[in-house]
Amino acid sequence: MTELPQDHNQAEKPDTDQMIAALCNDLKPVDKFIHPLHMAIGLSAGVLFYVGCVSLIMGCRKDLAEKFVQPMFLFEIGFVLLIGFCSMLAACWLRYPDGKQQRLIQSVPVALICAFFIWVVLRFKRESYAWVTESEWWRYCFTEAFLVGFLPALAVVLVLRRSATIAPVRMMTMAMVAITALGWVGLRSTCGMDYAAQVFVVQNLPFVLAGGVAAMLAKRLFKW
Amino acid sequence: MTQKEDWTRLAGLAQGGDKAAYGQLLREIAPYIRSVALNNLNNSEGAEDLVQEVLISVHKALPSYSPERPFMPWLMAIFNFRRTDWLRQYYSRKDHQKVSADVLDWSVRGPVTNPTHAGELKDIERALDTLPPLQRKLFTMMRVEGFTAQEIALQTGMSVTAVKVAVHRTTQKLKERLSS
Repeated sequence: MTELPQDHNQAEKPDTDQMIAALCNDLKPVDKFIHPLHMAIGLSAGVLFYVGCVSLIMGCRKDLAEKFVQPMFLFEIGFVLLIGFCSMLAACWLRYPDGKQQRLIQSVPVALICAFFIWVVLRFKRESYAWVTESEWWRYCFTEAFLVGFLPALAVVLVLRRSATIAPVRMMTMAMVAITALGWVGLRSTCGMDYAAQVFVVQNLPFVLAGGVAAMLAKRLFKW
Repeated sequence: MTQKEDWTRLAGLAQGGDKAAYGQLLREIAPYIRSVALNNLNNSEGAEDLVQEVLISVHKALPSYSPERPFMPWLMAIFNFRRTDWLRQYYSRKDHQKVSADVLDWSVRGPVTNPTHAGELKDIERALDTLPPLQRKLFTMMRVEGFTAQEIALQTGMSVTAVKVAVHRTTQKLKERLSS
């Protein structure tokens, strides 16, 4: 262990006993944090409700009824909903100082994302370059993604600000993954294009960009 | 009831606004945090600083504590977080405290004292004392006081080459003596 030299240039600090007395005087009955599971359920339901409303306002895709009987479509929607909920749960656990120690809760969404990535690669391989022939595939539903994701992301960040996290970047990343996943479900029900490049790259890109910026700001946003 | 169970109970009571329980909790955890901080930092002022930071953080994070979960992991997570913050600030402060060589008062000719290298400096001083006076003078002028060979040549009346050769030989001699 390295011995650190004493720093004599610091401003005078109050005595620890005085500080304890001051903290005791300042004590008021506290509102305990909501349990992470309850909070994750509430936030996920809220985001899904908003996404559903936006999808209805923008108009659902015409072939939605057909899509809901296709196993592949249902599998993808279900898988992404699971990723979204698990990520939200991990973000809610990370609000607690000791939440970082809940390794299983944090590793589940990461494992699910990895599994889903393999699925995406398989979809790309199967479809080859079919999407290239579709005109303007790259900007199809790009703006809708912002509509679906922006407000929920803002709301979740505001809710999570009441936290005592020791892993702000990880918490923000998990929250953004959750918003991405839940918003993506809404986009699949509004955008009538199912190419892997469109579905997995274009529709996710706004979320990923916004999430990257948010993760960079996380330390400032969740400072306590 | 063990101490840790007691802290869990006290933290639960503190969340309800019990000032006596809260005071007892803070007074009991403060020496514990201090001992861990001293073990980690080996710096008494820093440890006290860290104790205060952790106590303030415990106060801020009190709503995040759940009495169903153990108290110690919660406390140590806060401690580790604040220790990292403290170390980051400590080292950044040291960077800001760096002083330019231009500002230093070189007129002070007192002995160089660096407690961590006292043995090495004494060895060098002892080796210098064994040198003939002229060699010692030339070496000190060039290597300690920073005169150039030309300036020394002007002051001593020697040629520049002779000064350089003499200082070079003295350096070799010192190296041999210090390495043996």
